[in-house]
Amino acid sequence: MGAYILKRLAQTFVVLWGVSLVTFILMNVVPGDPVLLMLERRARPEDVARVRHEMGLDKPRAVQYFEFVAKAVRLDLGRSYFTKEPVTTALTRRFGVTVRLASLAYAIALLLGISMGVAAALKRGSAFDSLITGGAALGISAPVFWVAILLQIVFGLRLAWFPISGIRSPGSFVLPAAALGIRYIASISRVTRTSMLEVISQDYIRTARAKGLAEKTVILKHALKNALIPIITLAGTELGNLLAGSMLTEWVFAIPGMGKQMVDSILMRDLPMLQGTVLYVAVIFVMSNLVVDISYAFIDPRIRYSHGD
Amino acid sequence: MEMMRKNALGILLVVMSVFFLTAAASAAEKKILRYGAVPMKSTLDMELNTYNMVMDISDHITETLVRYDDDMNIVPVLVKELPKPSADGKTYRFELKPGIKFHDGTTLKASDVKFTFERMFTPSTGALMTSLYTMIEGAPEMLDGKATTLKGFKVINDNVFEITLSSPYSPFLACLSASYASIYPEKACKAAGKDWGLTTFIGTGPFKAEKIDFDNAVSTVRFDDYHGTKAKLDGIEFVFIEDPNTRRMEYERGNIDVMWLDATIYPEYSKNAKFAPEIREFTPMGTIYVNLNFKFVDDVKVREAVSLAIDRGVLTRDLMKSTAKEATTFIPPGMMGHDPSAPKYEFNVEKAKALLAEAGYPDGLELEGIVRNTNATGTLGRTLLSVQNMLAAAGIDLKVTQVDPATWTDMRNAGKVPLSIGNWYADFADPDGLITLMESSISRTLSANYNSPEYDGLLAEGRLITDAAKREEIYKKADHLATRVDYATMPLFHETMYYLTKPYVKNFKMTPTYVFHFFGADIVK
Amino acid sequence: MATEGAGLGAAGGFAGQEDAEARSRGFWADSMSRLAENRLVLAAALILAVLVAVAIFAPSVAPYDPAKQSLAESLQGPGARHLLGTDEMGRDILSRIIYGTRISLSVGIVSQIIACCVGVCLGALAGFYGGFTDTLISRAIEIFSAFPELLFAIGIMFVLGPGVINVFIALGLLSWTRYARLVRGQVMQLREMEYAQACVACGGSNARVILRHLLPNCFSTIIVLVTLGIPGAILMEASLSYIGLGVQPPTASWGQMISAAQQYISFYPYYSIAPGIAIIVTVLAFNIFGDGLRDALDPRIRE
Repeated sequence: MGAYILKRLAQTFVVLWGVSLVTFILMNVVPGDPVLLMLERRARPEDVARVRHEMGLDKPRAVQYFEFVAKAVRLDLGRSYFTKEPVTTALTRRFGVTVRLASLAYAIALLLGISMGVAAALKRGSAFDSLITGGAALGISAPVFWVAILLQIVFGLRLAWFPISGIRSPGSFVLPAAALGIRYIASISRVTRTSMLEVISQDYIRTARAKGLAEKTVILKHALKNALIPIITLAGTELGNLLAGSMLTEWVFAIPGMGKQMVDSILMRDLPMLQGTVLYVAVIFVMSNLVVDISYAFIDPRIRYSHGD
Repeated sequence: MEMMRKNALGILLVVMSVFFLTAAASAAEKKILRYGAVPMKSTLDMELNTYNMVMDISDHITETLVRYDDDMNIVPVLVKELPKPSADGKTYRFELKPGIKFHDGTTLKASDVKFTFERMFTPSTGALMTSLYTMIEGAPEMLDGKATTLKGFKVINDNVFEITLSSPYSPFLACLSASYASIYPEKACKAAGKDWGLTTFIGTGPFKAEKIDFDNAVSTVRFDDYHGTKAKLDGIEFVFIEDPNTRRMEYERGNIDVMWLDATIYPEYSKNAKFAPEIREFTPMGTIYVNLNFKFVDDVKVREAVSLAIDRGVLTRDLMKSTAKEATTFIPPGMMGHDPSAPKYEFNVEKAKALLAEAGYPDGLELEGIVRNTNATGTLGRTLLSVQNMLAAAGIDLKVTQVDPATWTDMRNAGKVPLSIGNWYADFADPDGLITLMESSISRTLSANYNSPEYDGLLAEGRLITDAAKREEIYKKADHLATRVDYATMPLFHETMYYLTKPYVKNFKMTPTYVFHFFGADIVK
Repeated sequence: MATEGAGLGAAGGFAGQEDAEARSRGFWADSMSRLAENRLVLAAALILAVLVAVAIFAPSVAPYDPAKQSLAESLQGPGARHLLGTDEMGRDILSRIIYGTRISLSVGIVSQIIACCVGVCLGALAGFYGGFTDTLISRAIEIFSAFPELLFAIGIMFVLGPGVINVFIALGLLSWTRYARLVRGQVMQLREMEYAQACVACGGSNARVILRHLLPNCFSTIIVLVTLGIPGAILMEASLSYIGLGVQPPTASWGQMISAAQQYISFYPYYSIAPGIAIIVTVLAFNIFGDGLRDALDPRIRE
């Protein structure tokens, strides 16, 4: 087990290195020069050359990448080309924002997803069941930016129940989290429903009912408790997706999180910022993979480590 | 199992409480003006960016030696009076107003001004707009790393200094009025180092930076030791909202007091009884034009045909819903060099076709137009789409490609854009800043590639002449040459811009240079 | 990694996630097919057939040329002349939605075919040869999965330049890892089976074993993945067009229409809602159809 974890950690570093290299190559292949973007259109070639030199962008590409890696292993990701802010400072701040957004989206998805799933399972085959399944299907088929725009105008402007944008007041995260969470409500309610249906038909539930326990107790204490495992597994894997999946939502709601930062930095060709953001997300992604795989290994000893993937 | 559920519940509780506790304190009943701003993608230091949206903020905190007033006159700000150039036109002697305080309590001295300029020309600063100031003697040497002090800057005493130019340059004071020449305090700026404009930003302006938060808002408060008329507002909050639609919703809900209103949505708002009275108009000194790259089309007949195929009347009336004024010159009305007697540019599809046939394209030709995707649904993108339709009628097949701004900048500088649509606003009220767009050295990096010794000669002449009437004639001639003889650029229209202002915000208007200045604004509820 | 732009279908991921998604996809199909005995899947198939027909015969179906501007008639509400009204350039919104079907369907289908080709080849190689080849391809899969999808799509679009062909390629490159991961696993399993071993023992060439024996066994799974990948690609195209990196004007795309309509949403909500509904209907039909297909073709993916 220990050897397995060590091997996986080593692989993690290979992946992170690969991610940084791909990002670097990509940003050197794409058209668009941060220096020209920074300067104004009347800038003369000598100004361009001078600014490029000061930013160290006139060095050979290999040297630039080597310098980046040498600093990155010491957790120094440099400063943004444009804001001149240290990348790690900006990332830490914006990561916090996205975590708040994602956790609320996650909470909404869990609450609604589980309760809808339980309800659908209990009323299996009813109109209510099809309403919930149909609604979930719709939610998952709509473009998130469009849902975001509609939520914003209806609940932000017209009804004025929640703030329209920003993170400056309580409740600011409600609409973006709803926009982001809708698609996960579907997957979570689906798992809950299936899992509940399985559990309800099990012997011990029948026994519990036979013992004359109240239906509520049977459902909540016995059935749901056992149905929770697959839900938690799913929720764990979806968390990573939520973190990275908030780009356009953050854009529409003016939320200064990782997603918006990612879009901003690729548009501005702000390589240090983009590298930092991509690495941050990759670390979370790889780590959540690792944790899920290891916990699988604990739960299901049949999984062989020798094939480790 | 029990553990798992408890953990899940615990996480939920933590999540919920974190989210509700992070409420920002709402502004008390102070007079705080909330301006809906585009997020700054740079520091506040105007040496390190070229964005108007940053000027909107930084101009309240730092000041320049001189500035344009609302009537387009240059007026002294930090200096006692406007200096007159010496007899040879090269040396300007300035005297600072005595006792001007920076926000940190220190007094402005001539050495701070010297520091500001030397910092700008020190290569490691990475200043971007040095080209506006390289006429100062010794500036090129500093930029080349051959000198560490500015030869043309002489400190006479704490309040008096002289700036010497390498040759006479009539728009020099106009250059000094640009935000790029904002004066910084030497000590504080040096102490802040790389964090200048990021966490620390100190000037002599009527407002001081209280909280610089690039993600959410920059908050400023009134500076009570201000050397001029003190501000009436208790503070200004520059609230960052990226998406203009989101910004408008915040305005409608009353969370911001002032914001730009895009001309494309103006007709809808002007028809709305609630918002119509809150719309203000502003005519920036600028022009929307089509640039046709000489590298792709150097036959003047084809160029004229393109100009002839564009119906500027339809653009201003139907596309812009009469919010714009049809261009008859490149230099906009209100600026020196605008020729009010110039007739409308001709619209004549048949003549355009005939010219194309004459030029060897009887069956029409293909062109490619590039537009930034950020402008795709805005005025520029729509105008290009209309132009695409109009050119089709004359047999010109214009392919439109949207690219992102960074790609666009690359293509433009490499001269690879065959046809583009652009807007250009003067950042100081002198035609020189505007019309240099077609000067060969700049035109090359703009993918226009206009190379006319005659035109360049007129501009060079205009810079040396101080007599206003003579200068005016030169710019009229240059404008005519570029837009009616060589068709170097095709002016389409002059935009009107709009902003929304809550009725309780009083006493402010847009500066002619297209920056919001809330110095004298007040909130009366 | 899934971004909001993609439907669950396009979400890459790892074993656990694939599993989770496979389960969620079956949600409506599973329950509803029991409710409607697959009439729902049939309805979805019918809707898809109609959409394909609309796309192919767009010039005959659409009342107007989608690029025809009539500036004086801009932003008119729904009426007899223009059933869904006109946009800001005076173009007929209905005609633009009809033509937008072409973009959405072709982007969805072509990009998944590209992804499938790349992914199946690499996945089969990794699964069959194992060892170093497998390590190399597996790490590549992980590296590519670790990028947020929309960001990666934007990056590739920057490299390739705008245009609909490049959207095909970009979205294709985005989802190859799903195919590769799946085919790798299946080929790995199948290789151990007796008939494959026997084939190798009989002196069958490696390519022959892969092409003739191993891949056909994955075929139904691949078909299901393609069908379920399409809605994700459609949503991703909408996201790219929404931020102005997709098809070029005056070509109509639903995402670009939503983007243009956004500023008018308070005044002319139908302008924004119409293309949104077009996207939902198309994506939903593909999702339901894909689920039905999976039930019919490959019960193994189901739990």
